[in-house]
Amino acid sequence: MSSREQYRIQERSPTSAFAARTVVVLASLALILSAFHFWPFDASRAWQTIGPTNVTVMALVAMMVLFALRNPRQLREYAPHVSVMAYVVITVLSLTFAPKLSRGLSFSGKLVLIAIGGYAAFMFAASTRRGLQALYAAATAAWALAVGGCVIGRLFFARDFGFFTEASKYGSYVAILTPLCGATMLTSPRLPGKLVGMLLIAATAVSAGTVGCILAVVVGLCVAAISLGRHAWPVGLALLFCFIGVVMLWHAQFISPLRGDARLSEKDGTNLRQQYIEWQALVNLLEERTATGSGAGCMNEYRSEYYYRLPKLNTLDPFNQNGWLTIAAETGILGLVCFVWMMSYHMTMAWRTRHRSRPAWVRRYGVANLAALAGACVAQAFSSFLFNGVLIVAILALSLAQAVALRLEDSSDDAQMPYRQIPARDSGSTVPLRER
Amino acid sequence: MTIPIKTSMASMWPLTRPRVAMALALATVCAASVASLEHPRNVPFAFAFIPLTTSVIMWLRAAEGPLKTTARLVTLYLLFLPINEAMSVHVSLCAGGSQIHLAFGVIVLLGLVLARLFDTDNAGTTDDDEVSSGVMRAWLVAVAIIAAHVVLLRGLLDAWYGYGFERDVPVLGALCAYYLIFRLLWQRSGNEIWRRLACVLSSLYYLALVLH
Repeated sequence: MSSREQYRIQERSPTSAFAARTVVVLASLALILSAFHFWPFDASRAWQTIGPTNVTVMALVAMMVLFALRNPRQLREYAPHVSVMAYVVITVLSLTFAPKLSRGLSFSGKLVLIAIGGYAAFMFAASTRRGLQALYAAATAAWALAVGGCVIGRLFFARDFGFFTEASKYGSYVAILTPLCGATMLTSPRLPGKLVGMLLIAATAVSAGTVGCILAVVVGLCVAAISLGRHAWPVGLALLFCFIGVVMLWHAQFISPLRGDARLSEKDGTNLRQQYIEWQALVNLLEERTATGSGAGCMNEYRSEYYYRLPKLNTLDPFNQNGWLTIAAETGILGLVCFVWMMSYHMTMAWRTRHRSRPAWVRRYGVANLAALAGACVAQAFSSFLFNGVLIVAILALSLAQAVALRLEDSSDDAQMPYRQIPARDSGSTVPLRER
Repeated sequence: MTIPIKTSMASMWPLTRPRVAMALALATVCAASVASLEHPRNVPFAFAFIPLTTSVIMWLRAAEGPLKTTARLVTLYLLFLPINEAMSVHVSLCAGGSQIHLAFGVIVLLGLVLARLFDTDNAGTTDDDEVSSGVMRAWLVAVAIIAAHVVLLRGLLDAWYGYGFERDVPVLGALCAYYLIFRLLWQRSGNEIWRRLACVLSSLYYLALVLH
């Protein structure tokens, strides 16, 4: 580490350089561990609560709380955008209607921890360029682990989705990470980076178990291609590899989960046709509970009253539902509005990064963030990303969009000081954003 | 030089109109609260102490910035809950010897539209604030998402299963009604006095629920 960089990390005092590095390490570790989901004790409730991912996230949040107590200014500096806070507050308030407070508290507790504490921690970690690179590297490692685990599990261990037990959870997880890390790798100036990116994207496409996942990846990469303009050829090539891979393997045993999902028959618990029945129940629920919802995490308590007919197999778990409708059904229309606001605000930030920034590396990350959020929006239509490890990567995508956008004017390539100035909207002038 | 002092009722009227609007909007919400308390609820408030505590907290002065935006949204959420309950209530009116059944949701909307007409401060102005326009855009997108789902369901499930969609139109109608209510109350909620008054009324409503 150069003396200049060390000086700047120390300058960020009162947080010590050691503590700052610890946050970066813990944030990266949390991302990598999220790829293992609840493996190897998938059925254990204790492991699901105090597994390594959750423990790491709790340590990360605890560190951010300590920083905030030591210096309240930092709390404001790394706090999530008001749209995130508004969504979290409405979610907590919706517990008014939770028939069982324990279930609602468990769901909203995790959301509060990760959406506020995790967001702040990711923002903090991304406040230096090296920290930002560490986060992208950790996300890429998590993506490679999840996809590699799925391919190996399906080939050798009869586990269709590797470390994940559900097609939809695996689908949502890789649907966010593939555009995020894939676009970063495909825009890399080095050829090996591009090739590895293409390989991983093709592996994601053939290992996906749901049509929603494929659609989210394709939409995410298309958004990246549109943003890149004439430099989009690696993305186009990656999409071509995906198409060829899926077509060639369509009749192979390896791709049978995806084939089952596309068949539109109610022969498993999660296929598209069954999802439509669930969507209808959620829409019906909205008529009576438009403003109130059913309480965060408690949709299943009321949903059965609103089916026109029950699915042939069991009803779907909340995370297998359409995420947009789930949020509306659980937190009411105002909860959905806050969620849409949160997503659209961060997408706008990523879009502005793409268009206004000068340094190539900021543009590159801006494109990746925009692609990841577009992929997340599509994936959300087929399953909810507000659960477990998927929530961690979703919050990562949001916080990175914000963190990179705040570095718009940080044009020096080796700059370490974050968040200097941001141009005022619709004017050429600049306003100081964060003063230290 | 003497400064003219406005004392006549006519000159006071422009100052009074926003206050009339404020009173009308709050009276409408009050009426919805009373209507929902007097009728059996279809949505049980399992933990009414949560909105009660929140509405008391919302009495506090919210500073400018993110806290104020959150306070505005939370205040409207607290007002939406009794309106949600009142939406399913029907009022019978006698007119010319015949009974007219009117959904309470229509009365809420009429009351707020009337309040908006009186609201000279905000009439004709648009929300140019970035946060306000962001929230308004989010409203439109949220309603569009639900509408798209309803259309998709009609197209796909009707083709596959062929059973009715009696609830589709009421769902979209309810969403549009809430959008209008939000639109009519959003600017009012930026007024500190109005916001506090709304929270006092909400506290009374949720206290009544808790005691009930």
